[in-house]
Amino acid sequence: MTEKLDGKQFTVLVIMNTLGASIIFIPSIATNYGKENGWITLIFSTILGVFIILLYNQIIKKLNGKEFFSTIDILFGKWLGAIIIMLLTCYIFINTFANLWAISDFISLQILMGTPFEVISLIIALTVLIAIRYGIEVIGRTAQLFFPFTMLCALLLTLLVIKDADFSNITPIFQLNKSATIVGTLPIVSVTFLELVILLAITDNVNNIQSARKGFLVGGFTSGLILLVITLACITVLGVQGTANYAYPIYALGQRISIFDFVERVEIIVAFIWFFTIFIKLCVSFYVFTNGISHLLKLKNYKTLSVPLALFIFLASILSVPNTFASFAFINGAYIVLSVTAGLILPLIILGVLLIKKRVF
Amino acid sequence: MIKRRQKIKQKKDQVFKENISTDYQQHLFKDLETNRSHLLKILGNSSDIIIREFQLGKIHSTKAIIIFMDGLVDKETVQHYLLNPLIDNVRGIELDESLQDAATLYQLIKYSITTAELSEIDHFKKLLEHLLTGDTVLLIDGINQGFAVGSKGASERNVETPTTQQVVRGPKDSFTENLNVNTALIRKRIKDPNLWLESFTYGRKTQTTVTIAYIHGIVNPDIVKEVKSRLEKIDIDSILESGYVEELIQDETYTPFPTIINSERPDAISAGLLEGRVAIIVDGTPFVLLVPSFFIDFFQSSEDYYQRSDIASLIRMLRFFAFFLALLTPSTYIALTTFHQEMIPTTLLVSLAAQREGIPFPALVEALIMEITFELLREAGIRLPNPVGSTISIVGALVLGQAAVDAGIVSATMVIVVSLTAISSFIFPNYNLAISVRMLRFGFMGLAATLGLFGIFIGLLLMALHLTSLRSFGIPYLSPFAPFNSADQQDAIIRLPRWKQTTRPRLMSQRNIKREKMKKPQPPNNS
Repeated sequence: MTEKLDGKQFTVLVIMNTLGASIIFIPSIATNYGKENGWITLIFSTILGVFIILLYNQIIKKLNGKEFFSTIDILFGKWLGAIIIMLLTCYIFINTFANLWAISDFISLQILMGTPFEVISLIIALTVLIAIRYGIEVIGRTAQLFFPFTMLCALLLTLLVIKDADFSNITPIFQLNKSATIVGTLPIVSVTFLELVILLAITDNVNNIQSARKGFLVGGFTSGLILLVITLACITVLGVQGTANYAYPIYALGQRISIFDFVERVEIIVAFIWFFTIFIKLCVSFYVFTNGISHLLKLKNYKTLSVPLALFIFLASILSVPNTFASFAFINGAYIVLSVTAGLILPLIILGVLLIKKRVF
Repeated sequence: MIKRRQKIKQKKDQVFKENISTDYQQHLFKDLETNRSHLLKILGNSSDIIIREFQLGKIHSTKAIIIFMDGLVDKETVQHYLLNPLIDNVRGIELDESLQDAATLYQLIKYSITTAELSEIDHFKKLLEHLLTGDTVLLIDGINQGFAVGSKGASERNVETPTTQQVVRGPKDSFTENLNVNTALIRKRIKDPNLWLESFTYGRKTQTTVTIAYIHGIVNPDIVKEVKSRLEKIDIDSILESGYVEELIQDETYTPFPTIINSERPDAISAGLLEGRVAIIVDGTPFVLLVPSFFIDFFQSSEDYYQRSDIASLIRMLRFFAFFLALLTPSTYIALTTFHQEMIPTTLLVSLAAQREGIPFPALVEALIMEITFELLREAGIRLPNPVGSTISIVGALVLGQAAVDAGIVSATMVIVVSLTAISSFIFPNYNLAISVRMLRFGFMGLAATLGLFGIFIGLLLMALHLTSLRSFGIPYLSPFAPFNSADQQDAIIRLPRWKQTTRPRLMSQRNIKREKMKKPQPPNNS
């Protein structure tokens, strides 16, 4: 395979994967834990996230452009390697269908009220399928193409609501709820930075290891910053209760926008940011998922299984999540354990073995 | 059974081919009459062959004939530089029997014929090649060799102003159907020894000359190699227009987007060559191909470079805006009126609802009726002869526009939407892109009618995925945006002033990247 991403495209992919599912949930999760200090939770999360990315960067450095899955095979042997890959693939699978569920649920609740959830989910699953059949290079370039618009929308969103901001909403700064503020970093890191473990599997497609590592760090930090700004905007404009009560606080933020009483109800731009980031995230995670499965089954081309796996993901998204509240319970509970296992413990083990088995490389 | 049939068919093809090739491979005969009858047999006694018989020499005079195709040759040349010298000069000479060998006669002919081009021929194949391209063939009795005299002079269209790519400011000449005139128009602009031309002949029946042009030292040699290897694969019976070549060498056939740009403007082609591209000139058409080409090229007019950079940049942005207008206006109208009424400001919504009250169709049908009517008008306007063309516009504007609204079939807003789409789709400097937008528009309308803005966004995503997957001669179609290249942004959506555009596009050629050394022009210091 000669598909190559450049450093810039990888950076964009990192940003998209971090913001993906989280940009719309994070403000309300953070506020639920830290109340008026929700934005401080984000600062802690970003700092933690940078450390996690440094860990991943060490792995990238040791991998030195080799394929992630086959390296695991070499490091751990046939059986243990297969188990580790299976664990990772399961995590990615859950991640993929959960994201598909999240975006379809959002669209069927907020944008297309009359259209059944299943139709939307199927259409998105098929679009993702088409995207991954084009390959990771095309996904990277498409992300790059839409990236400026996404950032512009995020910027517009924060700028246009600034007149409604009330900074008394965030006082007292870090006086109350200190422990809850710090505990809140756990679910946030688990839905943002720990999920970046998925990207380790595409680093062999980046043409320059150095730029991949730099892109990882820059992308992670930038998205932490964006999340911080968005959360701050939500808390100051909507208030603590407002942010915590909305399922999609950032969407509510968009609904507040009104320019000269003419440009109104432009929450569609929020939908655009959210949809696009999660779409790219879906593409990348589904790409890695099909690659992982193909690797386990020793298939030469990941495209062979892409169609059945896409239908599989679609079905899982319909059947696995009963409702929005169940998803919140999942994010705040079991998902943390999953993320820490797949995103922190497994990479630590892999890095440890990589350091010990220096001679292999 | 099928196999057998195929075998028989193959055999038939073979027999036919062999017959022709043996006829063609035949060496010229010594006897003049045999030569003449053989040639007439090959050409089927076509009525446009002209054969003039005359005598060479005084005593022991030898019979000779000249053959040419009527209309392909310049008769003046044949008369003054071939026939006159041969008859006048050689008639006085006493031809000896011993003089009748080829070498001596060649000297004699060379001495007497005064045209610029002269070549020997020995096979019928060669003879036909020359004869059919407009040369005059001279055959002499008793010699199994002949001579081809350059006398091409078919009537041609003059160099005129371009008809499809007009500019307000800029050169007004355009390519013609004659390949030599076309290459000369390019050479006139680029007086550089490194401008290299290579010619090939394709088309079994048409024997069309295809010339590729590039500037050695600027062009990426890999692209030239790629162009040549793709051209080599062409095996077709006819090439009548550069569109044939375009279709045979493009990267992707099943795409609505053109991956090869064409132009009839010599200045645009020259500018492309100077950027490191390869031009493909096909004999018989004024449309010259330029490869590799990118999506962005279809938004650039050569006039952008002749106007001031600020207005050029603004007009380019306008074209991008028009692209999205032409693509999405009807679909957005459908999506907003069908699914997202809440996004329309209340006052506008009220007036829209009032207009649509009496209309029996849903928005999609309404839009489809108008769009299809518009497409019909457009196609009819192109085909009709000029005097009738104005009738169409009257019928279109007055009868269909006004009357349809009055009759309550479509709303007035829909007419505005369709006219906006129409105007926007005519803004592109290159006609190709307008065609792709035309096709995609209907797809977007369907998506909008079923899924609203979400559908439009899915469509845009799919379009973006498709566009990023395209390549033109190995180079990403969407460059310099995806993959992003900051240096090439100088001439993408905006055009920087000339003195700031110091480099050539990076992706096309990594060599000779520096274009010029220029500093910002400044008024002289008054001391």
